[in-house]
Amino acid sequence: MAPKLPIEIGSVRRSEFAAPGVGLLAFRAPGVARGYRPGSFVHLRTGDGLTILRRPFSIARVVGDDVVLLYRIVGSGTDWMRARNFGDPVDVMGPLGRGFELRVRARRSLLVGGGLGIAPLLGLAEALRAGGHDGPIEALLGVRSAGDVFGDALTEGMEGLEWHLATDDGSQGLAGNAVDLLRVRLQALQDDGVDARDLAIYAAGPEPMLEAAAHVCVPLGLDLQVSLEAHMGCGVGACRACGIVTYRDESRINGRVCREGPVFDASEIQWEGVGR
Amino acid sequence: MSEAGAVSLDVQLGPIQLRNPVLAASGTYGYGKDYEDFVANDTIGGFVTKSVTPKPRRGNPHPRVGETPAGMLNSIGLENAGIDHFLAHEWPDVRREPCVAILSIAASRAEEYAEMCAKAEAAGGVRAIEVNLSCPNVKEGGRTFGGDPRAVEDVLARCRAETSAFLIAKLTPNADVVAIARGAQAGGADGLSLINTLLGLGIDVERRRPLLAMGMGGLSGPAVKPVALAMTYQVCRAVSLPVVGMGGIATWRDAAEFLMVGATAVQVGTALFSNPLAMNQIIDGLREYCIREGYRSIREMIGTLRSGDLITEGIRA
Repeated sequence: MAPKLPIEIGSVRRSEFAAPGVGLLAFRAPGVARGYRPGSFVHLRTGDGLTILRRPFSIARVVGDDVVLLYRIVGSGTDWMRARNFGDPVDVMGPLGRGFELRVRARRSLLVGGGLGIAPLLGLAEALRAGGHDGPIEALLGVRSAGDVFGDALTEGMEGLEWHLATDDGSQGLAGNAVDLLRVRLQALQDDGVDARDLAIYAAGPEPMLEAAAHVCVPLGLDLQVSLEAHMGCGVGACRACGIVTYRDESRINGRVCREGPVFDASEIQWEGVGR
Repeated sequence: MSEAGAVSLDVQLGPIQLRNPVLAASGTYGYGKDYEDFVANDTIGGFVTKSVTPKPRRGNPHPRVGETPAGMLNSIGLENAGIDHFLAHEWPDVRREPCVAILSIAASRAEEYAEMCAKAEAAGGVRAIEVNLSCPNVKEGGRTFGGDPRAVEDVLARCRAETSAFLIAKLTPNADVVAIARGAQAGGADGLSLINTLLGLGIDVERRRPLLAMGMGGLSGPAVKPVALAMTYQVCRAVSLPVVGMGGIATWRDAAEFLMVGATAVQVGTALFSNPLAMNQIIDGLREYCIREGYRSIREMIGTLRSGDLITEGIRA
């Protein structure tokens, strides 16, 4: 059987700031767009001339043949990304990884995003709607400060999302983080008589935030899927740079964020073993 | 002049015929399945498995990889499910791959290497074993013996007693590589592979912490290639065993350099991470080179470095 070769040279459509220190890169890549599943990622090769590893980025959304990424500008590779102009080529592998399972029959969806973690949840929201989910979809976003809220470019054309905001410094919305916001929303829903078993919860963001979300949801038996971030080498499961301890398959010992993930059921992760 | 396709690329590693001299290096190709969307295994010479160890290992804390100019640092910590699990659940598929699958073993004591060889022998179908003597990322029970020629000789002799497989000693560059090569040969190795990663350190200056959770790790990638090539050259001249060269090979020219200094085959590792098509591009490039040179077989280019005798260690002058 001939290999599928999920590797493609995309063409940049948009490259701009989505928030201070955060870039938005959109590129045309029909192959990636066709294979996209919410929660999947691309492994992008930067051309800064110094670094040799690709970088994994969750796909935020797919609009037609265009793939949209959100990334924090932290070094030479992401500086290079920020400097891309319309029409420039970008070399991407993907889509890779296992994405979210869409709970379209849930009565209500809660999407919990810590900072950039909101990215993969946007495409998820669109896919839930497209898949027939007709309950409310709440986007719970936690950022450091009001100035860090992402611009409208990211959510262009998206409707029917019920936004809730938390800021670490309390400058807008709830004072606290995304998990504090989740706690508040769960309590409010309970007060309104919503059965927690009718909820589907999806979270993405830094690992401590996901662990905190798991500590809120797993003991209550809530349905929580988390999208993990990890330093990766190969992105396909070969190098085991991103192995974490899971309960899923005792014999395999570890789950690979790039292969068995990046989305895991929160209850299958042995959190005290993650990343330490 | 040969026609396109008339060049034979196969090489012989002792009794083992490789379709071509390009193999995937241990730890970069899993057990041969992870790159199936990118590489057809019936097009490559073979691959070396991720190292298996006597017992399951969960691996090191994260981050396990970091970047340095033209290279990467890793300290994975030999994450694997252990040899018993491997032989029961992975090997039945691995041995059926349409290329040569070399089993890599790693341990912290000589007796454990021998025990793993015996288990592999009992499992059947293991044609070649690469003895990972040098993983710098695992500290267990004292010294790493990969840098001690007599300890290496001991490991190989014990393995030799337990298996009829083609035994390849994978050498560390973090020691006197020629002395280790001689030790491996004395112990009964059938072949040598080099280099494993170079000990390296990178620091995140904002956080004042090493890039890797474990601190130091193994450096690989184009940055190490000249070092790897020099060592391969030295070892090829010092011992009579077939040598598999590796270290920063990313293009067919890189691979050709290793063949010219005397390597029988090459391994490609880190390059796969950025370019999963690297092995196939290298194979194509080598074929075209052979055609241009009028070779009927790629074996004609092995050890063909001109003025090879005149290469000296300039830094000693």
